[in-house]
Amino acid sequence: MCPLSLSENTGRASDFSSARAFNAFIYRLLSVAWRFVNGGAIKNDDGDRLIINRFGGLPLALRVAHIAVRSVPLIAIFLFVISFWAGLTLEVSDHDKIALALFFFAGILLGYVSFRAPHLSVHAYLSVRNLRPIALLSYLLLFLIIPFLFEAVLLRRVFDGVLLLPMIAAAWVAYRSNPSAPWMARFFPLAFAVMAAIPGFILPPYYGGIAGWTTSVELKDTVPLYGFQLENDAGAHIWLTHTIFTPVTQVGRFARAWESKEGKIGPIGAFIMKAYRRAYPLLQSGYMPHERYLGHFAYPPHTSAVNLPDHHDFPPDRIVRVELVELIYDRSGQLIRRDIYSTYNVPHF
Amino acid sequence: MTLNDAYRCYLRKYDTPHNDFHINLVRIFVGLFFAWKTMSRDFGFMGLLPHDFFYFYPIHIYKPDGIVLITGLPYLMELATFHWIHWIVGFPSEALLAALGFVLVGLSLLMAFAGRGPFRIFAIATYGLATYLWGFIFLSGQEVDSVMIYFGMLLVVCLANYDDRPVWHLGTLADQQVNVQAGRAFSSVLMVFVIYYGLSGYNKITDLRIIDWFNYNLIQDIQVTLKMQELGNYYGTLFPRFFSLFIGYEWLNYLLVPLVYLSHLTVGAIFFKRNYILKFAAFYSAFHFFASSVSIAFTGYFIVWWILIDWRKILWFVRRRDVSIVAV
Repeated sequence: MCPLSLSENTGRASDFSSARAFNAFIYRLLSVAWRFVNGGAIKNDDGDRLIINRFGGLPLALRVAHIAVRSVPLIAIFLFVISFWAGLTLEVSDHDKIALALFFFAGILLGYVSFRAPHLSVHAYLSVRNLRPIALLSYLLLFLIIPFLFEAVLLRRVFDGVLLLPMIAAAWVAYRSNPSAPWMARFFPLAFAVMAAIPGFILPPYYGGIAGWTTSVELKDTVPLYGFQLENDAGAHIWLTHTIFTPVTQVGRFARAWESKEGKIGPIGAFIMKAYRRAYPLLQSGYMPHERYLGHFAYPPHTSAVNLPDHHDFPPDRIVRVELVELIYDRSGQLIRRDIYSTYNVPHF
Repeated sequence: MTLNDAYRCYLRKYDTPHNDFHINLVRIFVGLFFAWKTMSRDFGFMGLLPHDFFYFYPIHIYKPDGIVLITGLPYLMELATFHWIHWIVGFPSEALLAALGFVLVGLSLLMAFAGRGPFRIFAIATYGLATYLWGFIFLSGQEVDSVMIYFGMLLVVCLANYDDRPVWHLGTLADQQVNVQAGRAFSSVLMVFVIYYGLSGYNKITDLRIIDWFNYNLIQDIQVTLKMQELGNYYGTLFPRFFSLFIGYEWLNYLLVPLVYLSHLTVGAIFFKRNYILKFAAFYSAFHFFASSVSIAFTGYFIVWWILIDWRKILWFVRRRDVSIVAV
């Protein structure tokens, strides 16, 4: 069932009126926030007091700077909500909780300063925009320090994203101030800044880049192999190639996607048999399912598939069991044990 | 130097003249890539799945205290992948999905050989259908990382203004003067690369502490992958003998991994200094080849860098040599 089908959309009148009320509430909230960040007064570089009235009265750069500055208290509130949510939903360490609390108070303090003395914040923005050494040094230090302050990557990204707000403001000003330049040229820096600043940005087929991750591999005395195995009526086993799930060709992803819905769609073993029946003629011929049309000239799967076993003794009607297993070998290649995590017994009629 | 100065420098560089011949080659390359990859991915399979299998949103894939994909949310994902269409019409059958795969192959080849078509319809249709079909993969939790550059290049082909010619008229562009419109198209293609790798570089600063740059046990990872493969594992590397040569040289961990992160951070150089493209192409091909040592195959990215080389110059060079041989 798709998430929103036509049949679900035929709500009663009361549903519509509550939806209207909700929309009105959101609109009101946004307009109050917008008036807050866009109103008031600031001083320019010469110390002149300038009144901002909605959209007019100031050069674009200063107006954007002012909006960025006035956004700080809102950001602090946003961070508070995030931290509250993080405290509830993530296993945030005590270390992160203390860091979050400190950053929340720092955000409120910054907000207060920006409210009382907005010109200071405008100068800060202009320092960034003008790439003054103090601004560059501060950025470098903050980017280096923030990952040490938080353990959860989400929190690191959120705070680094806040640091990028002046960059977004600058990219937006540049976008608006150069109307004679091609829109694509102006779009790219803005897109870069926005995609970097939003933590975990993804809007397929585009996303915020490969995450920073690391892996610490210890060479143990045992080697585990994990995946689905098929058992035939003679009791022999073979590994099920992950390419059977093509076009999803990364190991583990299809099973995880299935697992997330298993309550609704039943055991994966039953579906594996369905897919296996479809792929068997290819497998029997020594080809993997992604090689259906182009044979060995096919574009390889995302996780390289190797060691395709001989499937002649494993026609679908001789498969009795699909098992999710982990085989533990010692380093000399001796099988130590075979752990079975789930079993699907294939019904044969 | 202020940000404004840097921006002006960027805009000037964006207008660097280039040749239309090369942009047409980019179009051909992207079209052939989508045809090749689509023929190697059985979209009919998606028709076998119960509808409730979808949607496994990116936000569900990783725990947010590790890798973050926070905007991979319901509705937003459907809007981005054109799967909003299933709010209105039903789900396609296995046969229809397989047929759509062939339609995409046809469109990709048409775009590659005949050009973008009237009103750029071939290119736009290729983009729309590819996004829709790949949407099934994205909504099953995979692959945005290995196709983003190609989709970006395809989008540039759709949107850029350059002299688009079918393959059989490509020769007429071989001696044409360089011009700003083609230059802008080429700059846009470069920016797709800069954004993809640059953001990856940015993430290496935000997600990792500097000391973590030296904590990736790549060589040990290769060793484990090879051992698993030797024991009959169903995934591994396609070049086990080659990568076994690196076993035992753990010091390479401290060199290769940080070097890659540094290259991500400096990839903007290809935009501002075009003679760096060849160097980065060689480096990134080597990098993506090396990534296959731990069974991750970014085959498309292994080859995509080489389309950025100015092939017209190479053809000129070859042609001049022919002429000189004839003259002798």
